[in-house]
Amino acid sequence: MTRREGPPLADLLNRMVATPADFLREIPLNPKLGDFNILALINDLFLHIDGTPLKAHETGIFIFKKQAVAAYRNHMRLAAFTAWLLFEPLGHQPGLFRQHLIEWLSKGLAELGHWVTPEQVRLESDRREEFVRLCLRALGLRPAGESIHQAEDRLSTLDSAERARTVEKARLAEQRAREIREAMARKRAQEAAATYGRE
Amino acid sequence: MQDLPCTESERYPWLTEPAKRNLLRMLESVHAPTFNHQCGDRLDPKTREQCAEFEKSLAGPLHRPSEPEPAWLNAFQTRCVEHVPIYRQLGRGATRFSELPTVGRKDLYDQPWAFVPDNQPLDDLMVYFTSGTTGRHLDILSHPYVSTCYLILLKKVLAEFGIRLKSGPDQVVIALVCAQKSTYTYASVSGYLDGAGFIKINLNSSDWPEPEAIGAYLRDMNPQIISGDPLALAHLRHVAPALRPDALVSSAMTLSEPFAQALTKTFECPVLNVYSMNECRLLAYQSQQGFRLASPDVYMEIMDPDQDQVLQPGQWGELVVTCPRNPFLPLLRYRTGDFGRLQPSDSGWLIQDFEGRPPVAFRTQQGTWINNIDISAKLRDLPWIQFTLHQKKSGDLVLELLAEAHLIPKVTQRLKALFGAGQKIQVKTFDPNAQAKPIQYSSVLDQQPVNLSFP
Repeated sequence: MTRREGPPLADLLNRMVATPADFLREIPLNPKLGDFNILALINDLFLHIDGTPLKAHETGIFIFKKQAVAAYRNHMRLAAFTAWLLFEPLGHQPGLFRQHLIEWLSKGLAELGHWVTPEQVRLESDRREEFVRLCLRALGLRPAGESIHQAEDRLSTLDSAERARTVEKARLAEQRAREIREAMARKRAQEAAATYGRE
Repeated sequence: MQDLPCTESERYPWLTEPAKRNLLRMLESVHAPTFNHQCGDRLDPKTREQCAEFEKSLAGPLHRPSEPEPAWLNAFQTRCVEHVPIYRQLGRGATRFSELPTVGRKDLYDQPWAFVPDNQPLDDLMVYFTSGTTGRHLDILSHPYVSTCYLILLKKVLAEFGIRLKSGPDQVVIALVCAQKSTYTYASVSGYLDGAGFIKINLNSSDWPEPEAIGAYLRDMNPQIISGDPLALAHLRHVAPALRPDALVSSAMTLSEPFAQALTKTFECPVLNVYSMNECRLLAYQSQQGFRLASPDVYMEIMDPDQDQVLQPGQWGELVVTCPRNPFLPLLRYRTGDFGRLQPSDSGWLIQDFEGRPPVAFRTQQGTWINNIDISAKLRDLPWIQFTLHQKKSGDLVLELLAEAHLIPKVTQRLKALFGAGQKIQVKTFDPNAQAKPIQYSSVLDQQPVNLSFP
């Protein structure tokens, strides 16, 4: 894949650290009932970078549909956070990023939202760098001054560390679940305590 | 499966000589049934201390409708999202309680272990299983603390009715009577009630030396409180009408008010109707105005059955409970599968029009649709013991009724008033042994969206 040279990594990392509180706030589930409209924010991002607002069929992902509240909220907070991160550094480049950006804000961040919150991304240095690199890669960019190979290598190192943490967490969770299942099998065959009423 | 027995010291870590004598008295009475099980309270000193704390906490105020969410709710949410796998998975990112997704019995079926907090030791784990309403086997993880909490709550509820739950090793305080094909039966003593006795017996069983032994045994044991479902209590009226307990406690099935009055007349005592579930035991008890929540550690919401939307007070929907009581099964926005409406009152929330099942739609002769609540309301003032109503594909109704014979025409008349004069109703006698917990309303025609806003 050809990857253009994007903004310097350090600029993006500094910008992330300086994220204004407005871009980290709670996302109201119904924008009419809050003073923050995620759809308007994303629209502004597209107008600024691409020159064209979101089309009707592109807006669905940013609208809450009364399911998976926590996942929706985290996804949208990551989207708001990303909008701040990319707004200035990408500049005005009509047609260049539109499709990539839609994909990243919808599918990419939805997936990432299962694992991280904006706070974790901003406050943990490895995650900070990994997030910036993932953003750039998703937009077909590499950090200024790095070759594609260097960019991939560095992301892979960060990604490996994260993967190792995730694998370890999953292993511990599975071990605990197995211990409980084994205890259940043992205890199922054991006398319980008296119950004093019918349920 | 034959249960692996505990040792006596595991069963009763506190057992005193007087309590042991009380236990023997219950087991060795000449009228005693052949008990098929043994069961203690497994109350060790640490659990007893926790129970004492729980009892103290009951003095605290119940959540008032005029107040915001109870103070403990946010800390409980944080604890669950940090330490309980299922809530960590589903609730991360929700900053307010109101944004948490609900969980339900399906989650418990699929992964009961995901409800156990990471830091909860497994030594005191107990597993109860229930077939529930669907017949599907469900493991309920629990702790001896939860069982004794039931006693503590029962004590509190009885006190509301002016009855003091006794304690001490020279009496039987509770007899849990069942009328089932088969069930575990045992005699036990409670450390929390200083060795007071408890018996669980099956009135239907052939385990008794002779039929008269049931009445004689209960008379000898003279339990202060008798608990059971309405079917068992109906059976009790026939086998031991001379008993004079301080109160009857009914649970697990709908108790009709006229039948409760009939029980009161027979046994000359009040009948308390309680709402209790395996997951956390006693939640609420019936008062004249509706079911009152029994404890400050219960937060109840009413929700749309199909989506995570809180309904307004007074609207009818699914009861969703939050309750930290069970250390192995903390409940955070847990859908109970029970229905009703939540009404504010000066003394706290009331659950009204309580139904232990999702709504079922029935088709009338006119082709219109009515809800099971309409039917319950129509039959509310009749002293039936239990009934089920099923609508067949043809629209015909099958009524299985357990009641005195003279009531049958009254019930069918009422149903015809609802469904139309030409409604065909097949009447059968309700068989108490057919299923552990009958499904009161069912229909093969139930494809009509149920109107949840009926009066």
